[in-house]
Amino acid sequence: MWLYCHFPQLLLDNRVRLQPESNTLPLAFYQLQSSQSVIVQCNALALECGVRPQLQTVMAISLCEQLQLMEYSSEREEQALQQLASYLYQWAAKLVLYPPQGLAIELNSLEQLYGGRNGAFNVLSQKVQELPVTSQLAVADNSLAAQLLAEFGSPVSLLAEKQANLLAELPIQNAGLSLKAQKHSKAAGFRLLGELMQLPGGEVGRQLGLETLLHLEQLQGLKQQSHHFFMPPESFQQSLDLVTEIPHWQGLLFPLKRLFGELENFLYQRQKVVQQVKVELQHRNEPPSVVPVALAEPGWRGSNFLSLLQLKMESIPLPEPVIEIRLVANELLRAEQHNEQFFGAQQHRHETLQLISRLQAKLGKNAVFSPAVNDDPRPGYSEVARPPGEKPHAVLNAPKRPLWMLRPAQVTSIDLWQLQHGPERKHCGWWDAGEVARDYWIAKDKFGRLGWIYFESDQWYLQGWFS
Amino acid sequence: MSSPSVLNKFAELHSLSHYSFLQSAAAPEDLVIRADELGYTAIAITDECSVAGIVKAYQASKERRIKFIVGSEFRLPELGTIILLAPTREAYAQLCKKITLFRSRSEKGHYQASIDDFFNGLSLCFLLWQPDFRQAQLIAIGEKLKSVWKQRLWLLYERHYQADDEKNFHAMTELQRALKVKVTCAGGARMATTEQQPLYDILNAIAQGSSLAEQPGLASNNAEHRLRSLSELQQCYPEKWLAESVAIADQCQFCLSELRYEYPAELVPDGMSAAEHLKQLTEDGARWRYPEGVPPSVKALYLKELSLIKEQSYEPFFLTIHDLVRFARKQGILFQGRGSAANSVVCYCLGITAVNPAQIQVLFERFISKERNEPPDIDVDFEHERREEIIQYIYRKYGRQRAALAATVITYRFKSAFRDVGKALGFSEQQLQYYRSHLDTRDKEQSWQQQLAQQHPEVANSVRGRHLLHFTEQLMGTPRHLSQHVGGFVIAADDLSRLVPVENASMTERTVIQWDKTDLESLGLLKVDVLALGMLTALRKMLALINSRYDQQLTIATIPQEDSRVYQQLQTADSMGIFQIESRAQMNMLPRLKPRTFYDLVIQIAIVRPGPIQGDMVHPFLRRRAGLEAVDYPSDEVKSVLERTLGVPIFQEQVIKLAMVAAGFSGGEADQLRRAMASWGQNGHLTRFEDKLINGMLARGYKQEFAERLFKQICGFGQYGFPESHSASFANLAYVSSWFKTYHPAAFYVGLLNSLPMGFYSASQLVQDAQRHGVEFLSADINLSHWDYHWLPKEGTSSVETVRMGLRQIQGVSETRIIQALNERREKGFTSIHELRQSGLRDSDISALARADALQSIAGHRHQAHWQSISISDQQMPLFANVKDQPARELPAPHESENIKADYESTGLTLGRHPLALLRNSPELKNCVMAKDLITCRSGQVLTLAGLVTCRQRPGTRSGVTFLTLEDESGNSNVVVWAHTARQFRQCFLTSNLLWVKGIVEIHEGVVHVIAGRLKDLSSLLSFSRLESRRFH
Repeated sequence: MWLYCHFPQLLLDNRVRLQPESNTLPLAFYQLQSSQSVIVQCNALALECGVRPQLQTVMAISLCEQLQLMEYSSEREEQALQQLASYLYQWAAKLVLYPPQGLAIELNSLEQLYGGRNGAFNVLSQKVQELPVTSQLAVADNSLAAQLLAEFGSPVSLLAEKQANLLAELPIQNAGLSLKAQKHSKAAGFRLLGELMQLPGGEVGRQLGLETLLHLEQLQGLKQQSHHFFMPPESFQQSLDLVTEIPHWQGLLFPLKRLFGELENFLYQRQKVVQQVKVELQHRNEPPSVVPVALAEPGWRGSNFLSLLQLKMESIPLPEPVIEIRLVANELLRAEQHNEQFFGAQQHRHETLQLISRLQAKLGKNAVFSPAVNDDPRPGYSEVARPPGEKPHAVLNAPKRPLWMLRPAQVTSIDLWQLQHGPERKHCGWWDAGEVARDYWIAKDKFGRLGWIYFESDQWYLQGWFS
Repeated sequence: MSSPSVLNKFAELHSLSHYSFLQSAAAPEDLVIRADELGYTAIAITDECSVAGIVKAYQASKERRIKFIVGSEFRLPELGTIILLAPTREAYAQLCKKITLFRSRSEKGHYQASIDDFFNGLSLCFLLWQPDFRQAQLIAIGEKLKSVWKQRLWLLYERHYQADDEKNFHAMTELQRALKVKVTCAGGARMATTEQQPLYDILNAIAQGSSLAEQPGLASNNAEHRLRSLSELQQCYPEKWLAESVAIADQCQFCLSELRYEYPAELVPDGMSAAEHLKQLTEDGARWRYPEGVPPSVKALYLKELSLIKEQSYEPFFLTIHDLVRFARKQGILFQGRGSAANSVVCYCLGITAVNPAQIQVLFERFISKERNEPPDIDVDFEHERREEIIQYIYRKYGRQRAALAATVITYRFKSAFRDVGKALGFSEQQLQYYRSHLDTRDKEQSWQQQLAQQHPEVANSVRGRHLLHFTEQLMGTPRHLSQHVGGFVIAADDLSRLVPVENASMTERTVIQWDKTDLESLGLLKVDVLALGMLTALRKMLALINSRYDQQLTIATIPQEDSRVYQQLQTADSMGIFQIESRAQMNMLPRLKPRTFYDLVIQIAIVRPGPIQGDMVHPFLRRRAGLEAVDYPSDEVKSVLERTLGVPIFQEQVIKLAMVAAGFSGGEADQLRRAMASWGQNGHLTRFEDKLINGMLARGYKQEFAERLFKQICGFGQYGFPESHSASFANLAYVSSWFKTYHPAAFYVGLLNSLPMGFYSASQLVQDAQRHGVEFLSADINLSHWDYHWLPKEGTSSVETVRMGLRQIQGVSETRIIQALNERREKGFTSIHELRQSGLRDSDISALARADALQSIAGHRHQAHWQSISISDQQMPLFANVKDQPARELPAPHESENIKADYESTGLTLGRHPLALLRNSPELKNCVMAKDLITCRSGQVLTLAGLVTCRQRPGTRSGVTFLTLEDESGNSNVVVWAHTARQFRQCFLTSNLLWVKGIVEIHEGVVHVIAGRLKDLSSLLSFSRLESRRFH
């Protein structure tokens, strides 16, 4: 006996759970299906405007101008499914995932534990219904039949005879047949699964192929299915797309709190602790801001990580508004053994972080950076400071640039300099507020030092020193 | 005072125009004009492996002092950049042949060249070599180049104030010392002025598929790739190198005016001149057209035309077209010529057009104008199913070396410009799609910029948003790539690639030249337009049906003219399927204009166009025609132009002529005006003429109001204006198709149905229209149908015309296999599915036939037939051998609604009852008026109706209103939905298939509309769930 749980809008429910305010506007997930963008999941407000799954996205926008659109990701949805499974794993060991939207629970092995078939069903179905996600449940002799019934939304029955009737009542297009078999069956006037099941097996195979025959036999329990049972994952990963871009840390607190709450639940259920988690903040254009949060001692309480993160926030400027948050915890430790893990691979990293903390303590939080370059043609724009500890990436064919850039450039007088090479003309940056129109020279001062100087608006400036 | 050391001469020998797609922000004419302003001696446009921009550049240089040089650049990784210049006509031919060769090695839009290609076949060109100093062995390569190119080789140095300038300069001087080759310098221009830098950066980002925000490195460092002033150049380069550019330019003597188009000579018999031959063919034709004797007036006219043709040496052009139509006639391919020159007596006698010029006395103004020096315009339409035969004939006769299609330059339009600029500025695709979906570029009241600013003030007020607005506008009109012209062939006397490079088109086996229609016109080169027209296919099929049924020899030319019954039918808007006047707008005009003569049809076709509608010419014309408004003319000159259209300009020619007689435009200026009209909307060239036109008219005593109205009308005409000559040719086909519909409806519909896809209407709509005209249809059956629809002989004394549906109507069958199977069909027909398989049909064909209920005579109803058709044969599946002898299962027959649904799915139409007929008694349709009864309603009456939505049309001319066509079992009705109603009922307005409408009927001059007030979506009824009975349980 199998209990199948179908979560028809898992991704949507998951994001509403993590960010309830996103539900105050019409919201929909879209996906490219054969080169057309269509809606796949939408909330109640969107439904009210006439938005429906399978509607073209362009049409959906026409129907509902305020519609918030997010791209559907089956990986994300599967992640959410994994989490649900991890939670249910506390009560049922034999779980099979049907990603991205379903899972099946084997009930027979639970009968003893929960006092018979009904007891097992009651406990598990209650646990599922307590989850903050929309679900459709069904029970059947085999997981495939249970899956079809749940996906179609048939009523639940524990009686075998009733289940068989419900199965027979399923329309052909909801019977899990291949598209070809569906097409052929419909063209011959079959409308319900039961009509096909009444046919002799030989005729089904002859008319609709072996695959269909096998499918029908599995549904009727005549052929066994093989199952891969679920094992809980060894790491925690949760992402949250933000409906609106959030420009400052303060606005991130609530969603972060929820994410850490998720982590806490996860760790608690698994009886695990972690020493370090990683918060990744995605931006539209800039590379993601990655903030490691390390506890002095491994722990599991979300609030501990969050308060530590709150302490760090001030020192970490957000280069751009945040569009997505990811919380990752990779190295799960058994709650009772964590003391052994203090040294080893983490040691070096730990030292670096300690050094940075010390430097920051001494020089001020905003005075410690890692240098990096991007390909912006404008001096002063291409040299960027990244949060400390990040590795710089190399730029190929880079022209000669001073190691020490002065920021801002200093006013200077041409009389102090002897021009050596140039000019290199920089007249660009129209696309944002930083337009420049400068002629750069490499020049020598009376001490023989090489400086990078430029002329702009009737004035000479020193941009930096060559080593 | 200028000191002797000031530079006063420079020739730019390396510049790219925007015909090096996405690599330059400058139009070729921008570069020429700017270089001239800066005092350059000469400029070479050297687009990458292309000469697509040179004609425009040459045109600009003609009126200026500056010398224009033709060249092209090529990039080779191992070498750097090579620029070839064409100093003479022969060198130009070599260059074109090389470009053709490089292009022929690659797919459309690309080229392939290697260093070895530059060691032969270019004996007369100049080569400028801009080495890539990062490469090794430059000296060895240089030596090799020098050994071949000798004095025609230069090293090219360019400086754009980059960090590595000095390094490159030293490398260049070293290379020069080693090779002893002269050095010259150039600007490598990709923009005309500094102002083009942002657009240039955007193009770079577009080319890389990235954004400037993401990759600021895609932007240029500075604007030094512009055309720089002489003093700036002097600071940049050694004097000697500058002087060398001028020395090179001085040696370049080739001018595009030297290009002479040599026509194919083989069309003229030995011992005759082209003129004599054309005259003879015309005279022969005249005797054929006027068997009773050629009227003297006709003879006088063709002699006049022939002398005009002779003066311009256009004979070979007429002979070429004559040759094509002669071939078409021999093959039985229907065709019709149109265009200003087509509606001439010569063309009538040559059989190029069937429009008797006697019917249109006034068309000769645009025939051939010496003054305007514009090549004659003849387009020939051929049957769309058989045009390929004509194209193949051209290739066969002249060879691929001598014939190629003209190019069409695909330019940025609003949608593409908005998207690409937006992406380059870092907007996401989704954001842009969202903004764009709310913009209506056809809104005349509010520009799209204003709309965006209103809807999204935050965007319009941001820096990035302002850039989006500004640069979208700038990018519009910039070329994106070359495509093939729909059918304009250029045919040369010998090798075409000596005249212009030829490159691959995206269609296999097609080649295009690098010039478009305007370029050809500018150079006075002729192209032959070989176009495809669906109606000609349909007409040929109609003629064949009538001729074989009644044993006649009817042709388009012998169809009785000016038949009053034909016009009576048209006046009632019964025009579905008729050429050019079957659209809804045309149908609405028919009862108002009430055409009575051929010329009325000419006007009817031209008047229902955005041009006359936007220029507000329709209502004045109708009022005057109905005698409700006096016809007056401000002067006799104006009267002479507008008299035939009651004082209202309707045709493009009239507008041109008005500019000449009323505003004093010369022929040349009027021609420029015509060109500006043609491209109005893409650029603002038309406004240039505003002052001249209005002042010209005021000076001649016309009132300000009249002058302004005329200018507004010209703007309205824009690219939509219709020349009278085209309208006349179309009117001819419209009349002929109407004649068939009036007198031989069965042949008419069969001809159309067998020529689909074409025209406005689906097979379903045509079949219903046919049924309303008394034609009966029988369903398709593998044992009774042909591939095509088939007009059945009448049985006994019955007056009913019957047509058997063709198997062509069934979706998913293969034409070749079905025709092959039909050829094998014996007299008693196929008796089993097994036989169908044996005849070569595949399972997919058989299954499609079953779904369409076309196996009735073999296997019973569609369910039964389908179940049989998918049965796997025993050989394929030995596993099920034991069920071999089981009798076929009796499956229940489909319900009527199931049949209707399946009919629509497999053939797109049903011969059973209309779905609305099945639903007529359902409570939702209670009190709904049927389409056919609308005309009996009182105008202003409130009523309800329901129907399938077959057309949603939002005309560009009247914003805010949408026309819906609803279809029920009795016919079609027209529903007008105003913007506020559409908004209020947005969901059902946009998505409903079966729509219920409550509204007010308006009946005016026989035109019936329902103005919608309430809408309801009844689509769910179409599932017929309540009508179906359940089986099995």
